[in-house]
Amino acid sequence: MSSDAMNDHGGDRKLWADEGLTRRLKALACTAPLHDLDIRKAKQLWLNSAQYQMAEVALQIIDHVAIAMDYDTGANHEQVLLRAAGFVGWQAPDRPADEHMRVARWVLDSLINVRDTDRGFRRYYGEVDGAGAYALRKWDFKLIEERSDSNGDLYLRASNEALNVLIGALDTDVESAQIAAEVRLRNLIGRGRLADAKAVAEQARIRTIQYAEIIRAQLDATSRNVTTVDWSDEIPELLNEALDHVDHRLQEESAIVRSVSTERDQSEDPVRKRRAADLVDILEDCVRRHTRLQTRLRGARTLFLNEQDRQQFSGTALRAPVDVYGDLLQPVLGLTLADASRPVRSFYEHSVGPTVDDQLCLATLVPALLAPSPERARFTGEEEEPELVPVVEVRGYTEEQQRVAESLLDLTDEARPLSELLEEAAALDPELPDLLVLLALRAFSPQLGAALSEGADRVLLAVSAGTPLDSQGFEGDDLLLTSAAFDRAALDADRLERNSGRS
Amino acid sequence: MTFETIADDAEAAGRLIGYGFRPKVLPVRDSAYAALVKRYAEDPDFETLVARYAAGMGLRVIAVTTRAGMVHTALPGSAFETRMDQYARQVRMRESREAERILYGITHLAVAALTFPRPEDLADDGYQGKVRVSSIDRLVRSMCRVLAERVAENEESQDPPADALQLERAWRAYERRPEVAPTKAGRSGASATLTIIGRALVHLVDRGMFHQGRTDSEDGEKIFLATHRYQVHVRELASTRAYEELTQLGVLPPITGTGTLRTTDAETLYD
Repeated sequence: MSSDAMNDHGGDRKLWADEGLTRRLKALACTAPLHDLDIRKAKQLWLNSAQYQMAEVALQIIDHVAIAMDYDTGANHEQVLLRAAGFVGWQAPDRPADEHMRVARWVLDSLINVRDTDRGFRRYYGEVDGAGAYALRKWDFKLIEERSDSNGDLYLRASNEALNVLIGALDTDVESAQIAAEVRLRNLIGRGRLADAKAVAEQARIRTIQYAEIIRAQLDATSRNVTTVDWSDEIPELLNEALDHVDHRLQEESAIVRSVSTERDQSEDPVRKRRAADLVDILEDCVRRHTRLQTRLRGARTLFLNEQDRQQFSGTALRAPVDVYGDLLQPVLGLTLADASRPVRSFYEHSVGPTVDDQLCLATLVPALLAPSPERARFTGEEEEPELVPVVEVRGYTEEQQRVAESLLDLTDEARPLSELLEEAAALDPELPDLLVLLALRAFSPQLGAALSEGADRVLLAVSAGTPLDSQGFEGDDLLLTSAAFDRAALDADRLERNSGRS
Repeated sequence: MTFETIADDAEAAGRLIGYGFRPKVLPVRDSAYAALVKRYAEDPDFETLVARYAAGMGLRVIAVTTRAGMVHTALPGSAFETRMDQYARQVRMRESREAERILYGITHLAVAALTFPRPEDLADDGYQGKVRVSSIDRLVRSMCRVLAERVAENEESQDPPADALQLERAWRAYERRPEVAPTKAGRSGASATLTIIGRALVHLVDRGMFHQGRTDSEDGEKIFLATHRYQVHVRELASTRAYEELTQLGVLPPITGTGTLRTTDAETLYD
């Protein structure tokens, strides 16, 4: 074979390896579980299945889950089942209600695929790789996922695959699709086609849900670690865009709600009235969702600043040699399973410390195994007499001591060092220096406001004397003490002046 | 030095090493332990004796501090070596598949990553890491999303060939796992990631690497607090060993100090 022929051959194959083809294959695969349902139903021995259209039930369930999905919750398991059972009931009204429930449960379990470890589906598709060889590849997807919220309650969510299958817009930009839906909605309402308008409003709601999901993912990554996110350009831009988007949609939707409400209130035809009412409900739900998203978006900046304060401006400049998040976790997640094995093993084995095996000793094991289980006594043992510790009386200073100390510290028009006063006090009473020191320390930062309001006419002041104190067992800086009298007249004049100035 | 004192010292050294196997006993609550830790810090001969004694048993002393007590690790091939297979038995991994173990391994990495989100936190002895099960799951899943987006940009198929599933990317294996998988009996399914993370944390609590703090007042979820021992293990040993393994695989770019995710110039935030 000549090299030219080889190239031609390869070129042909390249053409065949079309990305769009792969995409369509995957989209097709998403519908397979629904077809499967109608095939598998015949094998359910508990069920006379001819009456039931399982794919319809499945689409109902996915619809309901998608609509109930919210910013951070999803659809309640029981409610989804109840609603689906109601729908199943329409298909076979002559069958008992618990069979309807069982069918609904079976379809929901099949959509989650509870039999599978991953609770998902897999399909194989062929693709031509870079070298021109055809290879079969495995693709995993889910339709409905079970999640748990922050309270640990379970809820259901429709996967992206399910949302895309459901609304059939595989490759559209969320933003532009939203605008397109908006335009169509206004058109339809303008022409009075409310049934169609409802369908479009439902679509718009599903797109809103998708949009909220994208924002949520970005915000989550943001709150993790400020330095892992580009807060100088990328995120502020994203937040601004999102806020603009939400503001704009809120305006649009409120306007539409108003116009449809008028339609609802004024219409004579009951069918038309009900359709308008449905539409108002859906649109109001959209407004609620957008408001919630908006609140979250507005709080984002504060969250960033708080996290930044905590992470960037506190603590030491120390740094460990390895960043567990960026240097380990992230690269490991990008590896193939075969390669990832060694690093994660190594990390585990070194991060949990040494392991001690139990030492087997028959001499203690056998008696322990043979020993009868201890009987639980009905009463606890005799109560022990508690040993009482005598209360130690805390003695304050006597009034006599207080009086002597105050007379010592009555230092009008003179200043005396603390050391001198201490020696004088010690000569009078061995406990007096302690009290004197306490009073002198308080005078170091006198409470002028309190003294004034108590009506005192002077206050004791202390300043550092600049010489060391070593007297009667006290050490530190010596203090110079003096009493300063308040000039009441000047104070009153000052207050009067300030009051008149204010009024 | 008489034989008697040598024997006494050996016993003391052995006792200090023995404390290292009881991670829940801490020097602050045990005066005999505290005295041994003090002696280790002050007496170089005793330090050498402890290190040699430990080496003879197949252990390496990593740190002896008042906060963490004796922290040692098994030397390769010693009787105290921790093996992942043992862990697999202990947490009753449903299947002994390699993929299952890697998920458990990733979980342990994620626990450490969230406990010490920045290298500064890992280096700071005063830092106390806190984690919860759900936030660990969210961390890994958010990273999976980032990697998924990166793949989508490259426009090359990352689905593994049907006959070589071990070539599947680790993030895909994780992402595919359900977050919760309630069984009929109402228990959380063994395959769910939240279950895996919960078990990993309980395992770490058993080994004195974490202790269970109060539950969150708002949503009632358990909060796990890392002990100093865990920090020492991750910092001094596990992170560097895993890093070495990664460099041997050639997947890491050389460290330049810039360009990695964690470095951002502080000025740019205020310009």
